[in-house]
Amino acid sequence: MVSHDPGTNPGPAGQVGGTAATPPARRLLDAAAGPLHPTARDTLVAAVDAGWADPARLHTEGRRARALLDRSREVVAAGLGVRPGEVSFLPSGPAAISRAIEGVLHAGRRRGARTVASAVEHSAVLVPARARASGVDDPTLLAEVRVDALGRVDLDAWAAAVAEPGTVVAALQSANGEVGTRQPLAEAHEACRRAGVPLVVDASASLGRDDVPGHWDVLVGDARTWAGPPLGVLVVREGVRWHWSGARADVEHGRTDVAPWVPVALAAAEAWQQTQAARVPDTATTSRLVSRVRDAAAGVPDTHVVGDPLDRLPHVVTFSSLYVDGEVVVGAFDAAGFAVASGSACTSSTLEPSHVLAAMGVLTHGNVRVTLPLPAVSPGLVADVDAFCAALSPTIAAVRASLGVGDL
Amino acid sequence: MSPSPDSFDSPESPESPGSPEATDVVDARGERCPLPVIRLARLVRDDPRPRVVTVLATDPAAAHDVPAWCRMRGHRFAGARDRGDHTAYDVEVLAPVDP
Repeated sequence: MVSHDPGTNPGPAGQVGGTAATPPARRLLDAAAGPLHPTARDTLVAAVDAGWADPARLHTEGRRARALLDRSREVVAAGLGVRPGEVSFLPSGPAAISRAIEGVLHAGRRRGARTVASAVEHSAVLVPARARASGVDDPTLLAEVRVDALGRVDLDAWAAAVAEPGTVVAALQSANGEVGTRQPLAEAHEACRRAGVPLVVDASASLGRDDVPGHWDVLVGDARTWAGPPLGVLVVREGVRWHWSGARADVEHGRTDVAPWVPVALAAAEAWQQTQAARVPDTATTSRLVSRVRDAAAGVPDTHVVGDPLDRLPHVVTFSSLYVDGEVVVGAFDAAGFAVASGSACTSSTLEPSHVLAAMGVLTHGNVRVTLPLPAVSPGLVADVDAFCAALSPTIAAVRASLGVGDL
Repeated sequence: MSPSPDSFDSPESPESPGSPEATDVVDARGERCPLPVIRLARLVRDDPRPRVVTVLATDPAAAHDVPAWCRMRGHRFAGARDRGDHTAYDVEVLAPVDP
């Protein structure tokens, strides 16, 4: 069922050899929060010694940390084609997403309080927006714009929603991290411009792995996506009205109250440089591998491969198989050595399935999500994907047989 | 917006005029996904005659998964009715197109 090449990822540290049953080689196919790029890991370790100090301090150690932080910001800013003063580091991608929207809402509070977002935005967008609307018992404060069956926002509905009076902020992802579909940012941004509403683009699923978006007023990324440590990147374009009410002027340009730990920022910048140096060939490789997984999944009976087959992220693919529950499928793949994710309800802590799959109107149970790591993180990536493609059909069939649904 | 049962809502019972006559009912109330869809598929496999089958379910995933099953298996989703403590999903079972 699974080929016997060694796989890419070392087993758990301290694993004792010579046991009767050797566990299968681990194959990482869930890099949404993956291991660090090896060079970024080295940088992080070195920076723990060199950059531990508070960059706000005026002593030698503090000034050294400040220089490293400034350097990190310059690297990320240059990569995004923006000025360093436009870039702030926040503790996480989701924290940066929430803050991005808060800042636009606060700056525009005299004009209204309404948020427009696609129905497939990150929960860091939708959950606070729903809470704001329900907190004042006004459901009109949030418009969740519908998407099509591929997960792409309906542009006519989007344009109508942002033109509604009282709209202060619009939020649209560059691409969906669960299904991979890219969003039409140029058209969505144009509609926002006509309405005078700033557009927050959540690029946390794409930044570092796909082209840097060009159409936004506020941009958000997450260094985990480019094999860095958890670190949110918040970019506020010069001239965009943005203000956070909790600002302390000396911390990250007034966009957070938590100064980043310098070693983390430096490792994120190192990971950015490494991944951008190899991005063109890496993108070609992973995109080809995603196509291979899509083809293999399409060959499994009663299986729907989700999202846009072409206009999509180069490293994300998801599919859903009838009659199986996501938890059992993830467990079966895990036992065979594959780390994959799932958006099915039974794999989360709630009864609700993935809001993304639900909004697309596609099957929510039996869902498997693959997020490919960078080749530099998983040197055996191609072999891992080949093994996964070979294991796909037999694994789903075995799960169906075990659940007594193999004959449906 | 995600498709909600309310958008298909009609207050009538399945037997009332204007709604398709249900000849089979799958009572999957209280069962977690994917059981409601499994039981629907089993019923239709055992008796594939074209007719309307109604699935009663409490699991929120059924709102997405019953219509998705219809699309994937070549049947027609005829609508959902909110009945307070559960939802009734009507499925028009169609004759297979190719054997």
